[in-house]
Amino acid sequence: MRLGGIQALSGAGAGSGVRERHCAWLAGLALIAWTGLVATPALGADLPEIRKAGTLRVLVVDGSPAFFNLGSDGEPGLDKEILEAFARLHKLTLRAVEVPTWGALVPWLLEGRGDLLGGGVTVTPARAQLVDFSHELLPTRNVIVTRKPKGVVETMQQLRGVRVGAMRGSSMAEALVAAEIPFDDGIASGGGVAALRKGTVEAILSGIEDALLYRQSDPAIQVGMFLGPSGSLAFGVRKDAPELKRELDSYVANLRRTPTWNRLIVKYFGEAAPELLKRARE
Amino acid sequence: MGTPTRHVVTAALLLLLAAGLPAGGGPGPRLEPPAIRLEGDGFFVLGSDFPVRIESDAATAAWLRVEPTDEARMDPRVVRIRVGSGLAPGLHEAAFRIDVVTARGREELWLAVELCVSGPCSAAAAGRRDGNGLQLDDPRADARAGLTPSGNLLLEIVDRERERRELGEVRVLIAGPRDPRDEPPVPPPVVPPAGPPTGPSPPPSATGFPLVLPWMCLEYPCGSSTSADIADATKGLDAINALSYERYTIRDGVWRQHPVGDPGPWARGVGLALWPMLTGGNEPSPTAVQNMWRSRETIGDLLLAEARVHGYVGYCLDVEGHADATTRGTFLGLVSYLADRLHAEERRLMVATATWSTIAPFAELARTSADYVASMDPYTSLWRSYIPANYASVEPARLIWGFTWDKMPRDTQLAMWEWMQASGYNAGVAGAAVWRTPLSPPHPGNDLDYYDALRRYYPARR
Repeated sequence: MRLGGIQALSGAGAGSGVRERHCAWLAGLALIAWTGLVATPALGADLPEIRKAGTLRVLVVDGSPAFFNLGSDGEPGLDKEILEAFARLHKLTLRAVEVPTWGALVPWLLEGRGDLLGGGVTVTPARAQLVDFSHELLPTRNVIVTRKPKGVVETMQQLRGVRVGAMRGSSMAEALVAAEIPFDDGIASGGGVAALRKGTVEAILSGIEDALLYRQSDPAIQVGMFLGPSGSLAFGVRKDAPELKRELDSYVANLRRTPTWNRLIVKYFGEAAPELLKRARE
Repeated sequence: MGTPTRHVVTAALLLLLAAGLPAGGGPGPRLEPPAIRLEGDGFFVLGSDFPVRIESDAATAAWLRVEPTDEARMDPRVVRIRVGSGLAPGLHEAAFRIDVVTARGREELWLAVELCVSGPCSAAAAGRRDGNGLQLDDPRADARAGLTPSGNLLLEIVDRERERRELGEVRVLIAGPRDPRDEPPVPPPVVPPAGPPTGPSPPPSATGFPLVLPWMCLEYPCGSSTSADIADATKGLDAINALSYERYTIRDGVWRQHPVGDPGPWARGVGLALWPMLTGGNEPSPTAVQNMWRSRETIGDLLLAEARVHGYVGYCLDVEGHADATTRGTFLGLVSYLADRLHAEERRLMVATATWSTIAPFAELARTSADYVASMDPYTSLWRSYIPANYASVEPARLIWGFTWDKMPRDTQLAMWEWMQASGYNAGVAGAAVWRTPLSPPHPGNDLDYYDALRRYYPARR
């Protein structure tokens, strides 16, 4: 879920490959508090120093194995595959640094405890004030998710005719408020799909990348209309690391033009992902 | 395009004598060109409009076993050839029989096989010769032996009536084939169609096709010369924007450079994008594919190192052969791995393949990271079936049409080009390639100047 542009994930969905989000408002508060306290420029390193050290440290919150698998079993994850190739290109070793919460992600980067943010990080205005983001890795956009036998929600009229659920205080809730869609705000963190299964609600709002993962783990899940504007997932870097950002920009922009990107998207988010992500941009 | 590492067509008449086969009287083998040269187990590609049968005891030597088959199927498919072990070093010769049921009854075609067991015969494998003269008594049945780009034998027994009928249909559709020299070039369409094309291509634009190239076979294995191949490409410089040529092999996972001249410096000097060939998928055994996979990091490193030094835009991976699902999966994984590595440094990977080559089916290649898939299906007599299937399997922007003059009748080639253009199968494709220089006549296939065809149907983007 999202609140004030902050995204929080828990490890609960790691096994299923589904990102679960919770307590984003706490993360948001933590970030706001942290930014008020930190007055000095963060310590860190740009690419020359990283090259000297020989290690590229990526800050990751566990729980998004489709983006960054911190375990040793299974596929590495989209971000991890891309960053491993980027590291190899620069003759670096990639090292994951696990961050306990999403709220700590940006602070840890600014403290120099890592060189970049990865693992399915959404570009938000709040984060963008503090850190730079690379060229977009993946578009994202909120979509209406339903579960069979309920039909796919494709129009605002249909949306107004179903019981929608969202977590209180989340960015999804904000989007529903903005669209003047009444909704049940009692959905538990990470409990959207469970609520659909139970029939507590008939539709939930979700990021497209999460919706694709829901669908991979539950064939009855259906992805419907978009709600709200599109956004981006990207790698975050400190503002005092322009060379690293430039190299990442160049690398990701090139990757996006190749079939490698398409293959990775299909591998991690399913056959329909390229088309759905393209639609997210429209 | 590709490297004939296993099979080379030889002069069969010599073999007939050398093999000591029955030469007359009774149903003895009528040894016909071409012959298949092996250095181990191998295959040939067979397609037939007529019922064919290969029996398990069809070979003249105990060390030779040919996969039995008893069906008529025009779709060219791989027929495996197994050879025995424990043979003495040197050249071993034999033949096997294909029974073809035509209007004249059962007819026999004999194909000669040369097996070179490590020895002095190895050097002779470097030659690639054509084998003409396959003949059946039924005038309606036309046995055509050609070579796939990797030098594997492609034997098609074509019903002339069917072919004539289909060509007639094509001519009606396109109102008669034209020689590409007759008309000025037509720039390509740029908007790919949403679905299978159903009519003429969209209006042309001036942008041109991104990849228009000849493949050069060079000294090895084709016995051409770098200077002659360059001289030919010089004639067609205005028609092409890239060049692919024999250069490297990764057979068995071992990186090697072919003992050939290097047209790269010349090509770079005249502004052509360099796409050296990388062979290794030519009938690789499961072990060979595993070895390539195990060596992938080293191969990737070397690909990038060579690309940096020589300024390669990408590589053209040549694939021929068949594989079980596991080996196929490993090979396709290798394709993605190599493409991913190349992409990291903004290089590209093209894979040349054909429908009969089960190691890399089109639809599965489309799911890999390969940038381009070059189809060799227009080489076969079933091009009318294969071209639409290719077009539907791979995004057009990743598709390159491969043509060859080898065993390609003039009228058929002209009809194919016109039909593809009229039917929209050139819409949105990446371009075209021709196996192999010389593209301008004289070449052994027909009297067409393939540069003219490229100018007309696939004008190169500048």
